[in-house]
Amino acid sequence: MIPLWLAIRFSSDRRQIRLSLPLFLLWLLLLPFVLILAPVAAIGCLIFFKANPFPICSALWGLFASLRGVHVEVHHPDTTLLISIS
Amino acid sequence: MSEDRRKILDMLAAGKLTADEAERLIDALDRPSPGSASIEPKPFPKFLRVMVDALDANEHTVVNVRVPLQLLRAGVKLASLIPPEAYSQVTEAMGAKGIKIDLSQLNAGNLNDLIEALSEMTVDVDAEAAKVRVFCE
Repeated sequence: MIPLWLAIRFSSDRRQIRLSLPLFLLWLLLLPFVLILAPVAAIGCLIFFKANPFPICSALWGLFASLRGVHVEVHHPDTTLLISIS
Repeated sequence: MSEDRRKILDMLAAGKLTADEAERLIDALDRPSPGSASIEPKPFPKFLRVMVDALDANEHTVVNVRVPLQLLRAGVKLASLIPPEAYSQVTEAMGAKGIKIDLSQLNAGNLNDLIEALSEMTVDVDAEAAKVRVFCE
């Protein structure tokens, strides 16, 4: 399943960043552009690279969908970083 | 009908056992023994986890990384799209950077074996300066 939520938290002595992004809304916004650009990209792939676009799309989709569950957490005395894709 | 169950019924028929005793013996046969409890297949691991707890110059650093194993499969699938004639060039370029991996050997079959081996793997390093744990869950 595609990632639906991105959480980024960064804090250091000088700054703090907290970002919680509902990716599902982003996908909904990008969907019309993807639908319009996908055929163009597929034709470009066929013409310029002479490659079948379907396996490429399938592999990229697989890579994208498998990002769900990535969790990176680093705690240092001065810095804390958290990236979570769920 | 199992051999043990047959014996119990024969003994019941021969009057060597009462009905209650026969029932208890049959129940005991049906119940799995503690030593050989029903073996449930081990769930396939979904994530690779790396946990580091380091103490360096009185600075305590904790790293916790969890990566889906599905990402490995997706990466291999993407690598399989590289044209075969480009494999040698890519392998050479990676070798020049110190990454000695032959992409032509990377395929779904090998990856399945790798992931299966990873599911049994646990790396536990307990040193003075750092503790490292790598495992699949």
